[in-house]
Amino acid sequence: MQIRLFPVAVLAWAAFTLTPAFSQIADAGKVPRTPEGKPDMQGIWETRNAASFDVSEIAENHEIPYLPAALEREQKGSRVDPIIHCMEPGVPRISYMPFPIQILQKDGVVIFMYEYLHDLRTVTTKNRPHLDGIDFAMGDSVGHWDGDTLVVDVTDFNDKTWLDSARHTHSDELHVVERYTRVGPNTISYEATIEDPKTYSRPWKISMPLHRNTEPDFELREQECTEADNGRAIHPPYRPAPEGDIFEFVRPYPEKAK
Amino acid sequence: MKSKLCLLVALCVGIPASVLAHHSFAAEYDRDKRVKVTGTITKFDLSNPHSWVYLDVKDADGTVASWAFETAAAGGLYRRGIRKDTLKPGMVITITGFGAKDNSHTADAQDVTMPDGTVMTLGTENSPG
Repeated sequence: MQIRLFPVAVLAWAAFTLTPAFSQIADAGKVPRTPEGKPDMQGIWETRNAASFDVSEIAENHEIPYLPAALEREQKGSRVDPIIHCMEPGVPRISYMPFPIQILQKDGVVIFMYEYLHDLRTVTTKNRPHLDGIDFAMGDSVGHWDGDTLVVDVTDFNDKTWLDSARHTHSDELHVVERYTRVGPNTISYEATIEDPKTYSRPWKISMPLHRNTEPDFELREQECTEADNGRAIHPPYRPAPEGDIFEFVRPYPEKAK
Repeated sequence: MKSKLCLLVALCVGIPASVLAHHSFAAEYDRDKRVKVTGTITKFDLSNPHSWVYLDVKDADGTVASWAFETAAAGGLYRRGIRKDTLKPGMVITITGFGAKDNSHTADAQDVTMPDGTVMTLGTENSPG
């Protein structure tokens, strides 16, 4: 019996793991709502992917549509991930860093508290204009509700953050539109459209589920980043930081732009 | 090796090594070493953790020295009405501040006098009044 079930199990596993990005993320059960009738996004959420190491894992068709000039800029640029020097991870990367995210919500505002670097994004849902004349590593986030989806429009980025450790970069013209849809009690469907006319030939998308942490009394803890004497960050996933270029051995970089 | 190379590059392109890190006021600057220079802006970097104003300052004998002034964080300057293009390359400004302990042309900025005479505060949160 076990032997007969094995192929079924393999197929089930394959169907689960090989499901392409952008399939409908399902979660049986009722979506909780706030007193104002909006989907209640509150809770502690986590990703279960390795997109922070290579964002193409969650990209549509696993493709990042580089402009040839941008690819050349990247290949000639630094090989050391800025977060190794305790730089902010930027957006959307903060959403798929392997650390929990707590969302608090009240009418007119959604607050994202990230364990990573104790980052905080206070997102008004009153759709105010973006700031003008300033760049931030984490950009300027402005939200609004599109039906039951929280849409967060993020601009005013600098060009100092990377989308992952695999040297996927962007310019200061990056524009990210995130879409958070709570599809059930334990899942938020996260999608983001990424555009940057100096880097990509067209807007492209990433998608992933955010899973609710259901452990009783789970709380965010301190997560700190301090540069060591060797200039490398000391923090949990990268401790101890090795000497030299730790990303020297990543897969060969694609030679031509898609 | 890398840090040596980094330092070498920093020296060659004239970036004070202190720009590469985020330190406390006391570690870098001397509160008794008041500086006041007038020069031409070459670059304004409105960024975190601290913003920087770079300017070329001509000595009495005509020698040009490149100065770097550390200022407050981007968000703080934004609240004071300062934008990326408020300090434009080519503008002649006067900055006061506190000089670096290592006697380099680096200082913690206090106030800037703009070409039209407007005075704005650039100081960081932890610099002396």
